Amino acid sequence: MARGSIKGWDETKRNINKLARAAGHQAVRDGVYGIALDAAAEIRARIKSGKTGNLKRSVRARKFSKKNGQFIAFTAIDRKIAPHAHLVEFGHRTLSGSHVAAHPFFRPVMRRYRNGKYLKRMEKVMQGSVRKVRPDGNW
Amino acid sequence: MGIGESLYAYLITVSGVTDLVNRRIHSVVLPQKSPMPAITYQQLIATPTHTMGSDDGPGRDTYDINCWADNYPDAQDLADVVSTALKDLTGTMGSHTVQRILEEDRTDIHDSITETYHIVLEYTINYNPA
Repeated sequence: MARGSIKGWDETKRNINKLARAAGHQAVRDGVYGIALDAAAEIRARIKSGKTGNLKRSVRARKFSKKNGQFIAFTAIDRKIAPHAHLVEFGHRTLSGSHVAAHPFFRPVMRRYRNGKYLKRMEKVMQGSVRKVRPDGNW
Repeated sequence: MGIGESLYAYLITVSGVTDLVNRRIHSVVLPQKSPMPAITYQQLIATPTHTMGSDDGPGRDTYDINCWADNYPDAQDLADVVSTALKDLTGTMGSHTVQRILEEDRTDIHDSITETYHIVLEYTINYNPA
């Protein structure tokens, strides 16, 4: 059996590893932020349209990248736009003595993500990102 | 009887709770000008568990118990007795057999306009179908 070597293989291997790492990081970044965006969309869908629409507009998804390779994304309410958000979520009394029932729009969505939806969504996004560089889908 | 009704049926028998609120335990909404303190309860999440060929598997519902009062100490006292009654409860509750009740969260809310204090206790109830 003839044996040979490919010139520049070591460099190519380093580049492939680099690409795989980059693809992995991008997949994680896409996944984490995609989940925050999905959660925000689900929260908006649970909010009944009010007079101003401020509560719907206050739902935000944001992402950050840390230098140590961690990616952080969150879904939150911008209280400057909707300072009344907690009154809708938890219910409240009025000055006339009546009571406005709670319309939980935030916690049910967050609970579902905490109870497993997060991992399922993350797996789906990661598989999609990996298929872009590995069509067979193997990691 | 739904698990919400069983929750009500249980709370109304807990003397620590009724000593504070009498029978002022309401679903979802407080009556107009209800005296304080008072309790409302509301389903937050229902998660039916499906077993083979049936929808009557064990249930896992999340409920908010809202403890309303005109001042913070009263709201805290009420939340404490409710928590003592429900946290980690197992066994019969109304017409249901409860596997376990988990206290998930406790949130203090103050409404400065109406000077109302409001503590939200969040429970996940794992139960067998009635």
